[in-house]
Order: sequence, then C-alpha cells, then structure tokens
Amino acid sequence: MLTTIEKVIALQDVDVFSQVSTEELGYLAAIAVEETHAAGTTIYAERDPADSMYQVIAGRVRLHRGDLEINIAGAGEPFGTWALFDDEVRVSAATVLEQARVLRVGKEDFIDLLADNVEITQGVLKALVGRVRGLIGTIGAR
Amino acid sequence: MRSLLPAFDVQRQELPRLLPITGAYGLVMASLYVLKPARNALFLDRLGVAQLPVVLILVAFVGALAALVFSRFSARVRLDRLVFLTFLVLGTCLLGFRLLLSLEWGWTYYLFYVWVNLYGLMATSLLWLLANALFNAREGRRLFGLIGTAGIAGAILGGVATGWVVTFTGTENLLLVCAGMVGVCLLLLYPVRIRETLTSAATDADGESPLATVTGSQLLTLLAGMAALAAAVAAVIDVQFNQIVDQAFHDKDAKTAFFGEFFAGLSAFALVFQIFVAPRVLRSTGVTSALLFLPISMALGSLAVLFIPGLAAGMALKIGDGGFRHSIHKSATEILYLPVPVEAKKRTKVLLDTTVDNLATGFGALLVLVALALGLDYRHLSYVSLTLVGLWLIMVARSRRAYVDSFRHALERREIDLSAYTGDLSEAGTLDSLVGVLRDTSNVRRLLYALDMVSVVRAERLVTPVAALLDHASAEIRVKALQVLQLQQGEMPLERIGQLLDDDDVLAVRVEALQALCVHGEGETHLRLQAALASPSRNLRGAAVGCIAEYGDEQEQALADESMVRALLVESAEDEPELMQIARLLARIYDPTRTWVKELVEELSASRYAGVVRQLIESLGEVGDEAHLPWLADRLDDRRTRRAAVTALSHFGDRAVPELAARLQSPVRGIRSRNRAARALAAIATPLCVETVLDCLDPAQPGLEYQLLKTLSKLRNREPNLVFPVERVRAALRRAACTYWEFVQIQELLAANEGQGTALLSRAVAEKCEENLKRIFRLLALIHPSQDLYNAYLGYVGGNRADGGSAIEFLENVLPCAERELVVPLLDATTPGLAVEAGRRHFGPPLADFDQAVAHILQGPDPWLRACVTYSLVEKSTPATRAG
Repeated sequence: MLTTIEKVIALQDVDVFSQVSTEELGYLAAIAVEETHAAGTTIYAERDPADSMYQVIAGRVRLHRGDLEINIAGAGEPFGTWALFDDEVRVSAATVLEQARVLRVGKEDFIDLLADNVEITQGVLKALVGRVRGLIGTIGAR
Repeated sequence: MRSLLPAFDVQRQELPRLLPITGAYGLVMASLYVLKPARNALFLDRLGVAQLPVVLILVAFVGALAALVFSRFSARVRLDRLVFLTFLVLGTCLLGFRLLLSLEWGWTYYLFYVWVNLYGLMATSLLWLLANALFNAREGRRLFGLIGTAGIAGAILGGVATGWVVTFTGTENLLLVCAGMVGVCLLLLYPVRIRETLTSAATDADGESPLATVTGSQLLTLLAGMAALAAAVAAVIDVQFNQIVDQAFHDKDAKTAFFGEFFAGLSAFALVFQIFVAPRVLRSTGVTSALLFLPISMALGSLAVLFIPGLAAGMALKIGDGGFRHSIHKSATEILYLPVPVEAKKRTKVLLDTTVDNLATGFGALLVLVALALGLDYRHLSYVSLTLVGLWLIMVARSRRAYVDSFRHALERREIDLSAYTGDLSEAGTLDSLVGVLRDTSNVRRLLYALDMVSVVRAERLVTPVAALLDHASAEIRVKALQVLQLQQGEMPLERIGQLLDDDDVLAVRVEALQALCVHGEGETHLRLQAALASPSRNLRGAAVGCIAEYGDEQEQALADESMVRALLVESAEDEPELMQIARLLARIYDPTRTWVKELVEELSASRYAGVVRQLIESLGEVGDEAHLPWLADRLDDRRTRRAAVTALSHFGDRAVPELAARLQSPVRGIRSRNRAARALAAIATPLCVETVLDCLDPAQPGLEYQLLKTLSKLRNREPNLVFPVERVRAALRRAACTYWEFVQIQELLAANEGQGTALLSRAVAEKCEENLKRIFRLLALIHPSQDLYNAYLGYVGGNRADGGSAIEFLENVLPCAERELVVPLLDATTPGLAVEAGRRHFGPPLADFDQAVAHILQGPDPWLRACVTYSLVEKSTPATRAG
C-alpha cells in the first residue's frame, strides 16, 4: 500500500501535473486510488466512457486499437490522461501485459478538487499551456 | 440608485470623483482661452505675422517631441500623481513666463507661443485620461458630456473675461490670473486617487507598430489622412486669420480683447451647435454628412477671404475651425472609430491625435512659407486651403464605404467593445449597418451581438427588423428582441407579443413579452399584472411573477401576496425557472415580520435546484437582513453557490465582517474553509477587512498565512485607497525575509547531501523558497505601488539577467532604508553563500549543517515539509535502522 508521499512521488512524473507543487500533489494523492490488475485484464476497452487516468507504479500496460499497438506504459508512465479533461470515449483499449499496480485518479474527484483548489488548477493549466507552446514552437521550427 | 441631478444623470456617490475633475477641466479650458488670445496678441505685436508660420513649424516639432517624451515618462508614474505634478510644473511655468515677458527678449515670445500649445495639449489630455481612469465606460457615457460641457462653459467664460479683464491688467498680467486658476486646479485635484490597472502593460501585447496598424486598415488610413488635412488647412487658415486681426487692430491689448471675445463667441457657437444640431445631423443624415461640415465651412471661409477683404471675412474663415472641429467633426470622427478593434484603437490613438496633427500643422506652415516665398500674398493663401480641402472631400467620400465595410467585419468578429464605447450608436450609417445585420437571421451569435448593441438605442427604424426576430428559433434572441422593443416607440406587433406570452415554452420570453405589453399595451400596468396573476393559465401567472420581480414598482409588488406565492410554490415545485422567479421576487416583497416570508426563505433554501438557491442568495444579499448572514456564509463552502454567496455578502459591507472573521479565526475549520471567508472579505474591501485579515496572519500556519497574503493583495488592487498599517506589514516582511533566508540555506545544505529520498524534499523546499519570495513582493506591494512591484517580481524571476538587475535597481530606489537593507542584499546575492552572509546581519547565525537543517524543518510549522523530511530520513536509513 503506497503512502501519500509515495503517491506524490509517482504523480509528479505525470506531464499535466508537472507544474503542480508537491504540497498540492498531496491533495491529488488523497484522491488517487491504488489498484492491482492481473496480466491479461482489460482496464478499459475502446469506446468505453473515459472517467479516469492511470499512472503505472509497477508492471506493464499495452495501449492498443484492436491489434494495432499504440504504446506500452511501464513503471512511472501515465495513460488515459485526457479522460480528466473531456467527455469523449476512449480511443484505445488498455490491457495489462504483466501484473500491474496502478494509481487511478477519477475524473469526478479530480474536477471537485480543481474547483476547490485554484493552485492545482493553475498548475495544470500552466502545464497544458507549456505543451501548447511547445507544439507551436515545433511547428514554427519546421 | 436614484439619480441626484436628473438632467445629467449623476449619482450621489459619483460626486466626489466628478466634481474635482469637472471643476478642473472647466478651469483649464478657461485658462486656455485666456492664454490663447494673450499668446496671439503678444506674438503678433512683438514679432509680426510673418513669423507665424515659423513658430507653427516649431509648435509641430516640439509638440511631437513632447508627446513622445511625455508618453514614455507617463508610463512610469501613477496617473493621479502625474496629473498633479504636471499641473504644478505648468503653474510654475506661468509665473516664470510672466517674469520673462517683462524682460522683452524676442525668443521668449516664440517659447511662450509653443508653450501655450503644449499647455493646452497636456492639461486637457491628462484630465481626460484621468476621467477615463476615474469612471468606467458605463459611467463615462453619462458623465463625460457634463465634463465636456464644463469645459465649453469654461472656454466661453475665459474668452469673455479676457476681453474685460485685459483692459485693467494688460495682456502680460493675464498670466498671473491663469496661474491662479492652475492653483485652484491643484487644490481640486490633490485628493483625487485612481485605481491602478494593468491596461498599459497589456496594450501592446501583440507587438504591432502603430504605423503598421494604420497602414493595414483602410479606415484608419483615411482617418489619418483626414486628420492630417484638417490640421494642415487649419494651420494655413490660422496664419490668414492672425494676419487679418493684426491689420485690423494695432494695440496689443485690443488684439487680446478681440481674440478673447471672438474665441468665447466661437465656443458658445460650438456648444449650441453640439447640443442642438450635431445629434440631429448624425441621426438623420449620418456620419459622412457630419464630416462635411468642417471642410466645407473652411472652404467657404477661404472663398470669403479671397473675395471679401476685411475682418468679417477673417471671422468667417475661423468659424469652421473654431466652431465645428471640436463639436460635430469630433463626434463624427469618434463614430468612425467604432468598428476599429479596441487594441488597434489604443495603439494608434496617440499617433493619430498627436503625431499626425503636429506633423500636418508643421506641413501646413511650411506650405505657407513656400507660397509666400513664391509671391502669393496672405489673401491668396486661400488657394492652398482650397486645394487641400478638395483632397479632403475625396477622402470623406471614400470613408463611408470603408466605415460600413469595417463595421460589418467588426460585427462578424465581435470586435466592437461596447463596454468601452462611450459614443452615440444612433448615427444613421451605424443604424443602417445594424439593421442589415438584424435582417440576416442565420448567424445567432452575430444577431445577439447586434441586439446587445441596439439595446441602448431608441429609433423607430429598429422596430420592424427587431419585431421579425420574435419568430426566431432561439429563445435568447426572442428575449433580447422583446427587451429592445420595450425601449422603442411606434407601432408594435402587440398581437405577436400576446401569442408569445400565452404559448412560448420559455419563461424568460413570457416575462419579457408581458413587460412589453405593459409598456406598449393599453391600460394600467398593475391591472394587467393583477389580471395575469388571477389567470387560470400557469404560464401567465409565472410570467406575471417574473415581470413583477424584474420590473415591478411598489404597487405592483404588493400584488404578490401570501396565497398567490404559496399556490405558485406548490405548482412550480418541479420547475426550476419558475422557482427561480419566486426566489427573485423575494427580494422585492421581503418583510422579516411576516411568517410566511420566513417560511418561503426556508423552503427555497432547501431546494434541490442549485439555480434556485443561487437566486435566493442573490435576493437575500439585496435585502440585507443580518439574520441570514450565517446561512449565507455557510454557502461559501458549497462550490455551486460560492460565487453568489461572495457577492451577496459583499452587499452587507462591514456588517458581514464579524461573521466572516469568526470563520477565519475558527481553529476547527479547515484551511480551505477559512480561506473562503478571507476571499469574501476581499470582496467587501473596507479598512475593517484589512484589519481583520492582518489580525489573522499567523506564522504558525504558513499555508493559511500565504492565502491571507493573497487576500491582502486583492484588497489592495480592488481598493487602492485602503491604507495598510506600515509597521505591521514591515513586521510580516521581516518574517518572510527570514523564512526565505532559511530556505535558501536549507536548499544549499540539501544540495550537498543528495541521496535517496531527498529529491522530493529538495523540490518541496525549492517551492517553499519561491513561495516566500512571492510573500516578500506581495508584502512590499501593500505599501508601495503594486503594479511596479509586480513588474519587478516578474523581472526578478523571469531568468533574464538584465531584467533581474533592473528589478533590483528599482527596489533599491523605491524602498525606504529599513526595507531596502532587509530585502535588497538577500535578492541581489548571486550565490546562496552570499545570500546567507547577507541575512546573517539581520537574522543571526545561519544553520550549521544538514542535521541542523533537518531539525529546523522538523520543529517548524509546515506539516508538508515535515512529512517530506521524515520520508527522506526513512529512505536514507539502512534496513536495520528502519527495523529499529
């Protein structure tokens, strides 16, 4: 069972939380639930409602559309992040390759947290803006 | 709020801001119309009209230069201070000129001529800038007319007084009279304080140069061209007019008297024309016709000088420039600016109003010199004016098309900022464009925008296109259309409005339909509402309640009695919009002595609909019964009602402070709940709120303390007149600086002891260090110019070495000794070691080693850092130690 601090250490690797202070990540850790999934389990299927994001603590998770593999998320890597920000269905499925321990952050809890905590909102927006700026920079460099 | 002076629509709370600026503007214009005749007469008497083109070129050059220097300087000084300082300098200059003129040196007259121009430019534009800072656009729409009228009245009185006073004092001593007027202005302006804003920083955000903006827009190019031609023709005419006056009067004081009385007469003419003729011309024939008044009058004056020699022709020549340029021509030009996006307008206004005007004046004077050198006499300078007017008329003709195109484009892109527009929308061309947009029903967004625009215009031409929108599929459009029709006069589509009242599915539409029938239908409003309330139709009863809640007077509100409200409450139990109307009605019928009203409040407060509770909160805020304060404060903890609760509590003012203070100080509440109480205090923004928040600053709770500092910053920004006790702020500053110093040391010690588990601790300490840096700047901003401190903070943390250096330089100059010595060495230190040395003097011996740093955190008040340290210690320990 992870402590709050261990959850914070894991969550600070998630790109969209990179600008959130560690103290505020403590609040995020409080809503992050630790789950264990056996190999072969489908965490979510394609076109499932997107209601959570995940951070892999241990194990490996395959992200795919049908047989087409998109990515394999290993320890320290997040997946399904955009579920926190829009209401679209999942565009890929997540299947456990090796028994995985993950942290799950539910969308509803996350939105409630943002509404109550402007510093977290600010940090998330900063990271998103940083990503957009990065994209613009990449396009500009071409 | 009742209007205090109905004719001018002034409200009582606006008087402390309005009176000083109105009085000062009147006095400035009066002094200007004393100085102008004196300047002209002194110059002509001493140097002769032949030197006039030369001094006009000088005026143009110095004016452009002064505008440039002044705009750079003004960006660094707060506007109210800048105004006061400028007036102080101008008053002193007047006394200096009085002394210099007695010495009768030739160059003094050139200097005085140029200076009077600068005086007019700076004093008037600064006062208008101040007016714009003191009033928002909505207030400006009502009040700027009054300020302008005071200015015109001042100009008339100044001119008339000149003609009379000069016979006793002589021309030179008029300067002392003007110095006295500037002195009174200083007394009036001394107590005026403005709110600081970020607008100046944001203006040039996209980095485009003003010239590029002008050349990129056909409309702006034409505006620049017309402004240039107006100034050039005015320069030529000015020389001709002065020559004619110089010929007609030989005595200096007689010239002064004539100029004074003539300018007074011109101002009176401009006032009458602006009040009685300009609005009618703009409404009936449009902006293009209005733009023709100035060039045509100047052309007629020039023709008069050509064919009818003498003073009368000279006076006719000046009527256009003096009578129309600042009345109908200015109004028409302002209308042409309407479709120009606000940012583009801000960027180019100085260029068009000052630089173009000055350069074109210089160009006009140069043309005069060339024409005179070529052998033309003063009378025949009219040919130059007539040629320029010809070009000008071509531009006026082209401006119509450019205006309409720009207007359509701006409507499409919603670029017209109505909140910032203080002009008149009822101009014929503008209305034509708006009616065109209202007829194209395909674009809902554009339609709503156009309806918003016409919601302040009363014009019969709007009725037909707006009435057609009553059949629009969007309920929002139907509501807006009905609101616009309520304002209009003429034949209304009453039958269609009646159908909407009976059948429309949306309550808001039915409410506005009923109100439209009350306004335009036959019979008494209260009888119509009574009948609607007694109607068997629930639709009609709901509309009547909404109508009373929104628009009802006391007699109509009395119709909402207990039985009616109770019946409606039962009927509407599942209907959120109708329940919201009942909650809104509560604000009108509230009476705490009635039991049924109390029960109504209780019933609505328990509603499962968030919209109903929010409306109830708003109503209770309006009625201001302190009995509801605890319930309202509780609503701060529900995010669905928080914003409404903050607004409602702010209506109570200081009466809400004890309730909020109790929450803020309550140890059993969490930090977030206490912080919400602090935010509500920030919305009230009174001295008592400042005291309350300062009382709660507790170093033992750093998280809450930081949030409270943010609240204090909000209070400072919201109400710049609030006074923050300097000694208390300094005490907090000392604590913040000390904590910052400690974290710099801890950071350094951690860096030397990297290991497993310390990464998170290092990051947490770095964040705390940054937070304390913010504390330092926030505290300084409470007692020094907040915008400057914010800029200094951004410069310091921005990573650019030059900006960081400038920030330190700024702090060094602006902070008093005690604060400077505490803060600057800490921030100026280039290495942590130097920072530690810098703090040693104030805060004692530094932390000796890693263990002491860890102990310091563990004994400190920050629970998060304690957790991080504990974790890092556990991670660093061996398995055996951990087991132990």
